[in-house]
Amino acid sequence: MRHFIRRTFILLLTLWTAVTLNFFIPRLMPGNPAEAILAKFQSKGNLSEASVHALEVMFGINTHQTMLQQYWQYWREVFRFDFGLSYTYYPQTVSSLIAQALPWTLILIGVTTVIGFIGGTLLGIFAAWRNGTKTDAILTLTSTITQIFPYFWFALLCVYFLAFLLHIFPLSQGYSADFMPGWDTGFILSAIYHSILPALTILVTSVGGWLLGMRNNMISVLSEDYITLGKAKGLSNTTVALQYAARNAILPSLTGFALNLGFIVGGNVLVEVVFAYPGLGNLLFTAVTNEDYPLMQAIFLIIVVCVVLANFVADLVNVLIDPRIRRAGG
Amino acid sequence: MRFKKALLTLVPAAALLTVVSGCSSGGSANSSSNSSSSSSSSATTMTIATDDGSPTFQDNFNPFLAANMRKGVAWIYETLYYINSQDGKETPWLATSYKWDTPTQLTFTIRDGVKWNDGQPFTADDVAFTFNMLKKYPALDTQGVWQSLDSVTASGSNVVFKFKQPDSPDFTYINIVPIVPKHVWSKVSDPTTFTNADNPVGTGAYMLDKYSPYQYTMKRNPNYWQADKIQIPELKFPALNGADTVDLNLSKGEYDWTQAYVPDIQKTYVSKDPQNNHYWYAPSDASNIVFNDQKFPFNNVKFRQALEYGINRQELSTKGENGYDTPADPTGLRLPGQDKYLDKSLAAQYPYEYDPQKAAQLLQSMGLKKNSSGQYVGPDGKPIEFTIIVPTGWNDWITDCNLIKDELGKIGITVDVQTPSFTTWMTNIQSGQYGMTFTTGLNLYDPWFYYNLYLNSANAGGNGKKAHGNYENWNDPATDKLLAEYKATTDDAKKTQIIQQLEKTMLTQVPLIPLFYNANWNQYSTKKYEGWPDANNPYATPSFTIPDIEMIMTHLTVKK
Repeated sequence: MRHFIRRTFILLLTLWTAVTLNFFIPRLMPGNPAEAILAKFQSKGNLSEASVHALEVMFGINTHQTMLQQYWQYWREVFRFDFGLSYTYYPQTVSSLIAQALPWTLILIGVTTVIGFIGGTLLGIFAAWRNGTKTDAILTLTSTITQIFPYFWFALLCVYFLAFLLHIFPLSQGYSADFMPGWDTGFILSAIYHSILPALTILVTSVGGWLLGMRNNMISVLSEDYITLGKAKGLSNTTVALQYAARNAILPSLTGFALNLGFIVGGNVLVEVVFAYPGLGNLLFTAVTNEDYPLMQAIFLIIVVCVVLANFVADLVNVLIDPRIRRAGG
Repeated sequence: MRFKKALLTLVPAAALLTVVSGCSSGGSANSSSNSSSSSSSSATTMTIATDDGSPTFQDNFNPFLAANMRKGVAWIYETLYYINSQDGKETPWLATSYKWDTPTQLTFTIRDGVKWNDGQPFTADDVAFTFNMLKKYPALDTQGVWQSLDSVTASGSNVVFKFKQPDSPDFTYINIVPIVPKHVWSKVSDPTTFTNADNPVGTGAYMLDKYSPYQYTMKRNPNYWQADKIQIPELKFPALNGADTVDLNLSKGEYDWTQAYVPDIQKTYVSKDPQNNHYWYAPSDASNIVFNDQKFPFNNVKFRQALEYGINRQELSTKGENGYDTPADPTGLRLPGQDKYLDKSLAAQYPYEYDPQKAAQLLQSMGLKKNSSGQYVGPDGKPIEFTIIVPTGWNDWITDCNLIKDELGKIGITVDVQTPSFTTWMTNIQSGQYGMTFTTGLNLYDPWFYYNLYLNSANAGGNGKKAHGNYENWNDPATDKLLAEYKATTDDAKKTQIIQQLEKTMLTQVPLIPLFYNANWNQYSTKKYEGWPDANNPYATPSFTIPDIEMIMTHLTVKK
């Protein structure tokens, strides 16, 4: 319990720091992106004072509030999920843009992260159990190779061969231009079809890491005395492998997985940009390239909050699974 | 901002994919692997690649929200007159005639029998309503028509524009304003956030048909007032984005019409089908080299003239701009389109050809001496050095800057090239904290716009004020007076005279250096359609903007 309270306190402190930094950093940067947008209009050289003022109101600049007033305002906005209007996609609100992009990212990156973790871990257990056999050698070697693939290079190769030359998959985009997003079969099938190639590239490049991590943990656990005891007691191989060895060996992997869950929300910028996927990663990329501060700030905030929360959850899970931490009283 | 710049921010993925696929040209002919061409379309559907999705569209057909509206609005909305920025020719459009009753009163007569695409009649009331809406919501008045306007009223089939003070150039701005229907927009609570997404109502040749976040299509407006001139039944606008490489699809013949910056157009596009694949990059106003005229060494006219001789426009055009942007005339006039304004005898006195020796003579006549390492030294004993800044990622300008650095280095002037972010760049040039930079052109015929933007002290900065356009802070009462006189007159002979005096300022004082004419990127295929504007028949400027588009659509025919 004491452990839990201390963790919660640290969590809140981290969140406050992150949100505050998120407020101050853009304001301390040189130049003002909204002013730059205004300048684009003004470089036509024929904006009246009234128009300039109206545009300032539109983009929420030169409001003549003190920094402290703005800071309070910002906190109110954070709790209301109201991040104002995007510069790039004016007059869309930042919240509506994020709401549009989030499902795509959660499904593509979320599903592939979970599958990658489960598949990689199971294969890792298997490889470790078969340590020294041909199966283990093949699995380990393949993983070592796929793990060092630069994602960008591998995705482009896949696109070039599977989409551009062989036409097995579409080149890019989240679904076919013939459909409007909605709950109809055509659209859903199109979306699934369009997600196969990006999902495949993510899986191929991510499974290896989980596999190797699990395998190495497993092998060090398997040399422990209690495993020999378990075997001597005549327990089945499966029981020993899963209940005795894997349960302890998975701890480091699990922490990594929890952290990864936090990063899902941010999307995978590389994947989404390569495949022109309509998710948050791509939105973030657009926001950064266009210096769209309201949009950027909101996405960063969401990522930070998710990562911090995921960390917190990983801690709690560790406590639940690992009695040694519980005993130590945290 | 130029589309080219927007495309330059594409991720390396696109570049790489182009390289990879470039090696296998001819490998996959007429395939429809392009994600955006998945829909079955008739043979005469025109595919227009211009609208950046990044990665999907936002549903915005409000023609006043230029920052993020779909380019398709140009096919939906029209203006009172069409002024071709190539030659200044005026074509009556939604209005049939106009007259300056007095220098402060302009009357348009509205065309009879025009209908909105929902079948409602178009009237003078709609015109008056549109302009008064811009007055009520100044954020929409990006052309600044209400700077001088006092009132706009409809009477019968006439619309009367009354001005606070004479302002003849305002005629051009008035004719850029898209006219919207009163019966739709009067019900809109806030036009500054109105996305106009449901069946936008306009008078133009086309109307929105199907819309999806990756593509929209347009069909002919059956009520169009020149319906007999519109031949192409359907238009398709796929979303363009970083990974969906425009160059790749262009070379595969996926597009009928594009406005993209293509590094090697001859190889990428024209060579694939020399019969049908063409490009015409119509010139717009000059891009310029600007510097802070208030600061040493640029505050000395001899130094500015030395720069004219020391910078090689032809080389910048050829190497930095692939020859697409042709070298500009030192007067800033867009030749040959604005030939009638040129004072030829004056131009002959100031040829400003690349001549490093002349540049050196001018520097020496300022009393400047070189130090032991060959650099000119200022009166403070320090070598003359300055930075030239352009936004990061604008690769053509960056190439230009490096060429300028070499050219001036040869003379003995040290230049440092820096590429800050766009925002930082903008902040620096607005506040005059820069040595040298580039500015980009307008797309308007009347040369007054160019001179007014760059030379009017009202657009200059200084004393805590930000510069807008006049980044070199040229503060000259004589220039201001000329610009004001031009505004006050509707007499063409007098206008030409004033422009010639401004040319004289440009040549003798060199407040800024016109560099090359910005190109309007424009690639088109004659495989299915004919009647495109080109250098021999520049009846319109090929830019996807209101009102140029309607002019081009009435000229295009389907090939038999």
